[in-house]
Amino acid sequence: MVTRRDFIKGMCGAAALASTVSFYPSLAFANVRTDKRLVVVLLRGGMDGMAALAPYGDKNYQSLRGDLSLNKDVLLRVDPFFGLHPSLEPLANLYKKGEMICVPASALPYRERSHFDAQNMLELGSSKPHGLKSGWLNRLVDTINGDDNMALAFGQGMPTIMRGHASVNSWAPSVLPDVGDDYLSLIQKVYANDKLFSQNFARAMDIQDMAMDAVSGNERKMTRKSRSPQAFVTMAGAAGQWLAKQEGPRIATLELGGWDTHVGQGTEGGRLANNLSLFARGIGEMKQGMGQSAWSKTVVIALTEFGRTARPNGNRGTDHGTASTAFLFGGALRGGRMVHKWPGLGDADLYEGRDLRPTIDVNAIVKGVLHEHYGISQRTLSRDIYPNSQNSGLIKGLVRA
Amino acid sequence: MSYNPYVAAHRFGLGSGAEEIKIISKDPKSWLHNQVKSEIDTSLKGSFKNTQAITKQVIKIRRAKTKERKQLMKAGFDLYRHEMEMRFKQAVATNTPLIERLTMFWSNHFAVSLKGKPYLAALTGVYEREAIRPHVLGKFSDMLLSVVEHPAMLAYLDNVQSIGPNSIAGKRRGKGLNENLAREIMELHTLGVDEGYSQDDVIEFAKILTGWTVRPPKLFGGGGEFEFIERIHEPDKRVLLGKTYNQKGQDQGIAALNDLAKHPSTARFIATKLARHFISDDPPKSAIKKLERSFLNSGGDLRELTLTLINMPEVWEQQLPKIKTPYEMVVASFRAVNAPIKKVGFKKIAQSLALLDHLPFQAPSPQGWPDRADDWLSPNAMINRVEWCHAFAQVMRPKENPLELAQSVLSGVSSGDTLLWIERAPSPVDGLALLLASPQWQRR
Repeated sequence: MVTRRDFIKGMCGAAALASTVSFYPSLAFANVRTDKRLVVVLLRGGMDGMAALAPYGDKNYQSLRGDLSLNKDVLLRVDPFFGLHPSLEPLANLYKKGEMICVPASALPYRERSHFDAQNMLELGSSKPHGLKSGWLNRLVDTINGDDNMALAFGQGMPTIMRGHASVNSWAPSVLPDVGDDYLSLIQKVYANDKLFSQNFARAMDIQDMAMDAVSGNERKMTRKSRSPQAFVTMAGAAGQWLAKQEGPRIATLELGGWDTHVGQGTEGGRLANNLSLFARGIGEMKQGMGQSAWSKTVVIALTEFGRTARPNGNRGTDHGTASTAFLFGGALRGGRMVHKWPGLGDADLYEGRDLRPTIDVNAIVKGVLHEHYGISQRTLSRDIYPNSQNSGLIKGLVRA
Repeated sequence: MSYNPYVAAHRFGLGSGAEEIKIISKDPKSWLHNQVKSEIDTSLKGSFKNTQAITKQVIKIRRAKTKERKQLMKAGFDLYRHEMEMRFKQAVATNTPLIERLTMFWSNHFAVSLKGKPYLAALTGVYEREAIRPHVLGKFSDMLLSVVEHPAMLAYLDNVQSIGPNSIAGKRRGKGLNENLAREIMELHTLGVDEGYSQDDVIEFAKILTGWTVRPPKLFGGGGEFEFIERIHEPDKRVLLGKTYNQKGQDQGIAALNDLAKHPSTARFIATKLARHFISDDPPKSAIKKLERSFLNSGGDLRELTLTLINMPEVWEQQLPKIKTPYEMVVASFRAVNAPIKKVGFKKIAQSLALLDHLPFQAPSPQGWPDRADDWLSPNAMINRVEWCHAFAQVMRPKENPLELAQSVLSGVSSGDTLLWIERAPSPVDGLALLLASPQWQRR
């Protein structure tokens, strides 16, 4: 197949070739480029952790959750105490294969209930909502000396978690009409004498090429539709394919919103069930896109900014709460288990009498993964990636040695 | 010293069409000087609701039940869209674009964003109209005070929730201090980050600012405006940056803000930001020094500061050091072809700005939008720009090759091969798209 860049290369001859050859100077020498993959899935809006992973073994579960509780029989009982929501069916297999870890009753070190501040802390890796100027994934790229092609955000705009000093890319299906190669080759000529523009344009074309390989034409140009939640599944599949490539990105982010279920969140079916299904299908597509070899070197961390109230509210929904459930996936995990210190669901067990009590720090999960997956020392983690987080500790044994 | 019309039109202005660049070319410096004369009107033209009316509307959203809240939110966003449309139209049509640029600069410096607090959408437009615009050629200290007294800022940075622990209300309700506004004023609006203040200073300043809040709507009218409420205010004197503030009530805060406004660190911080915006991403130290001195000598007079900028050789030395932000790019494109907004419709324009990740008052944090090329030219952003220029050109449907337009609007700037390729473009649409996407037009 002739790729968009090949085409332009052909059109413009030596000058264009020179610019594309020199455009990953670091790659030519990058014989130590890591083959470890890390994907962070941001579940924006505050996922109901007890809906995703029901503690059906807790004696207070049914009475506390009331209308929102799920019958034991419909749950995917991968564990004698916890069961996955039926919509997460594709994930049950991963769990059985040892490629999934659930961390119930986990939360950020944040006890307020603002989406924005909580997401900021989640993404900045800061102890305050606006405590830092760059996202922790961006600092990770710096720490592991990532090249320009190391990190890719899937979605419209660059998420805070990726922003910062290190060079990172983003990709989203275009919502504008196709422009045609004539125009693009002219653009390349007009940019030839401007270093910043020619380099960035060449990088952009390279990413477009990867998109050509990984995503079918309809999905690359899906206009409005590509902004629908369904796009998450497509993008997750594309992410898998890109991450599998030798020169492709090693670090990626994906985002899935729609978790802010104040009203009518549903149980077996309904709004939340649909979202869970998208999430599970996306993870499945990602694994499939990646193939076994890359998947075996991969950790996927799925995090939300906070959980929801333990009891239903007056609108058959749940309000902003504290602890939720964090999920890890990937062939690099020592998985197939729950990592938890279950706080219980009795009235006195609940945080402020209303929320699932957090017993595990989300940052300790992430730090544990980074420590074992990349061999980053605890000192470096607490200095560069999660400054001032010495107290949050770090969970060991999540990743295979 | 030669004054390049392109620098005047794009770095200080918002880009210009063929007619306007001719006028600018006659005397670029006077063209700028004339825009900062004292009789210049800096307001946004149109008829609008005032802060008090809109604040009452916003408070209603906060108090409404779910169903009603949805409708009120929608009404709030309709108002936001209307304000943004008027703002965009003025940016495209104005013959004092420097005023619009200064407005955007200062409103970004004192950023209020509806990200995270969408119910504030309706207040963002009036915030800029009433707290920023009147002062863009006035005193920095006056702008600072209007900003800190504005309901949009008080709500955005949570001061409306801040209660002095030893105030009458604090003792009764056991609620406490919120440091957000105090911290951001020092870090983002005045001194700059790490400029010699401590966490203790933040707390002291937060206590000083307790009581600065919004008057709740009253049953028989009134409410929705700024009010200093004594019973929320932390009593007693405070020590901020080594100085004791003995004043009672709101005077304590006014005194503290006035001192922050004229602090040498503030002068340096503002000078650096202005130089970064008007000279280059990494501006020369000499330029920062001059602006700093101008700020201190004039007591933070923003007209003086703007004149210092215009008169500074450093500004005119480099041709195209800056990248236009997406918003600037969209405005400049309309100005280039003198296109009426209604040819596209503001809905489409707003969609464009959303795609380009630069909707007004939706910055990701109180820090506002970034002001460096790196932040705006990621590969994906680049493709979006290139594709947007083409889509825009398609809507404009030029009938003939825009070479002549390109020759005039790019006059004054070395255009390399750009003109050559525009001439050879396979269609007038491609030609216009090429002009707008060219490094020359994308830069300023």
